[in-house]
Amino acid sequence: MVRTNPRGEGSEFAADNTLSASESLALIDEQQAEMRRVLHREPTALYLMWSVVWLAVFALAFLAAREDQLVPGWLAGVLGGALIVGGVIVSAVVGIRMGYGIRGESSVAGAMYGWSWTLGFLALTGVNLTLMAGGMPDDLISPLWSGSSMVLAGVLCLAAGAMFRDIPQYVLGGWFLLVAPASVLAGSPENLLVVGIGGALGFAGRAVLPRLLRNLVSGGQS
Amino acid sequence: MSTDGLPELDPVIHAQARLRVTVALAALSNGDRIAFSRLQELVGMTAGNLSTHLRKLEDAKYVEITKTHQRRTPVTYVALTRRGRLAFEEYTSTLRELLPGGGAESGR
Repeated sequence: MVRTNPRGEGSEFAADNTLSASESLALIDEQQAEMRRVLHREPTALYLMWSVVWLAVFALAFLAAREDQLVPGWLAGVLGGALIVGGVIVSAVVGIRMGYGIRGESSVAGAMYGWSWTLGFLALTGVNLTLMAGGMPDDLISPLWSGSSMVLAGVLCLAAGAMFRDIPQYVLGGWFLLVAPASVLAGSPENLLVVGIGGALGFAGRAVLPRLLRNLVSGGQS
Repeated sequence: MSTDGLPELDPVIHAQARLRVTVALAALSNGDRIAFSRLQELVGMTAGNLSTHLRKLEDAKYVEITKTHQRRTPVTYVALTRRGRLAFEEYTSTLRELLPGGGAESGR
């Protein structure tokens, strides 16, 4: 019995052999595009969201750190914390949805990479708190946190770029490594402004870079 | 368009539904497997239809089907085997040979 469904997918060769070579190639292209759209979509909106969240968090921190304290410290802390937690939740949901139902080497690699951030920042917090307890001068504390955090984030982005052969991610890592010493040079509290603006520009650049690269490649071919 | 030479194409893959499934599985990274329900969503087929075609691909040793449990719910995972990936690569290169003009711009 020849069974077909509305898409015309017959389970018998008689029906299947009507597929010409060009139709087969068109079907391959179509399904590959669908897979890219679902599994490897560039999270442009996510990077733009992080650009805004990042700028808001560090702008709040800067306003709270100024001598005239335009924003109370507790308010900057609560709002900044809420923004970061919200951003992390949105990112996690997007990531889980993309990888839903897929298991294997890449999900193990992804989980190991995710843990690198947690472990790295735990170690960094341990080192910085020890330095603070050991009598780190007050005016160096804020640059210590901004500089060391940006170095760690930069290195982790470089690693992701290398692991997933993701050039825009590698560029973002390199950019963070430039922002790190710049923030220390700026001193406190301007370091917060440098990290805020530098980070926001980095995320916005990361959002648009893949499209720019694609246009460059397709422009070069036409 | 001439379809001469098409019988030389691998008959296991050269069927709309199985080609769709093979492309979807080939898009996964090496060493990854996908849940039956997610695959069904991605290729837009009924469960029965997908099972039928997966069985044919499995008979040819192009896919590997693993049944496991997640929180007591049975889950079936599907992965393209090495042999299946090679067969798909061969299939696409044969297709391009059949279309000397149009094939060159596809599959990049």
